[in-house]
Amino acid sequence: MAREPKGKPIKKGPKGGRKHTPGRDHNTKSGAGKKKRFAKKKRRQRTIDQENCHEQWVVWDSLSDDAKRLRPDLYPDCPRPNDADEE
Amino acid sequence: MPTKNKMRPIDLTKWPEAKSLYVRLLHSFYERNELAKSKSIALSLLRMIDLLDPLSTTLPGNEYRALIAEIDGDLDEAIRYREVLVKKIDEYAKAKRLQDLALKPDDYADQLDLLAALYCENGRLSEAEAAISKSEKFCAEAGIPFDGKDVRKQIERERKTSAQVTSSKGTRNKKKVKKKPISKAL
Repeated sequence: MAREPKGKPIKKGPKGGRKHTPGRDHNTKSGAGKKKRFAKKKRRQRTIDQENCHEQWVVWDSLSDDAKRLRPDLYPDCPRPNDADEE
Repeated sequence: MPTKNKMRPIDLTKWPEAKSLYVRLLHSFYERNELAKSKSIALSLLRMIDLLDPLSTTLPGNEYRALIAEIDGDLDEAIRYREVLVKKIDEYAKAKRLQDLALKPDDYADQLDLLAALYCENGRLSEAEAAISKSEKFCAEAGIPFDGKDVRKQIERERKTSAQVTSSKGTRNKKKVKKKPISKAL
């Protein structure tokens, strides 16, 4: 008697063959490592962005009202870090 | 009847977008020399600046308009905006309070060099020389290296050329070519 396969039942087509599943048996071994590497890179980039954002806000807050009127181009292009944390 | 407040609140959040357009414009005009693309970016920037700073009261407003006028070929307009810009920074530079505007001494010197280059290009050599001398003096006082040596050389070259032309042909008749403004060219 044939043994029942473990896990999820395999989907089959109308003629009884195994249904096409993209990527079946082709999962790369380096996939997990890649995910970790990408996550690390993204984390590093996020830290740099946060530091830049913080610096921009420090510069903006240090300006007087007159200077703010003259140099609106220094207005940071990211939300104030504290506001972002609260959200 | 209550009077309407004519002062609109300044939308600061749009300025980073204008700044990025300006950076793109600098890149396409000076580094890649793509005039057609520069003109289309300049038009977008001009529309944005007209909304953000309609009266040209800010430093970037004047700076962006000066570059747009330069791309448009209108040197008189470019000089006018650059002069206003330098005049606004002058007050802070004299009081040695450039850091109040988050500017460094070399930023001010650069503005003077650019103004001198525009004067030179427009044939106003004595004003160009005055601006470049002012820049050199400022750099010496601030203890920073003077970057306008090439502009000074260009002024001297122009002065020699104009002296030669004057001596050989008498007065120089320079035809002014009127170009279409950016807003009408596209």
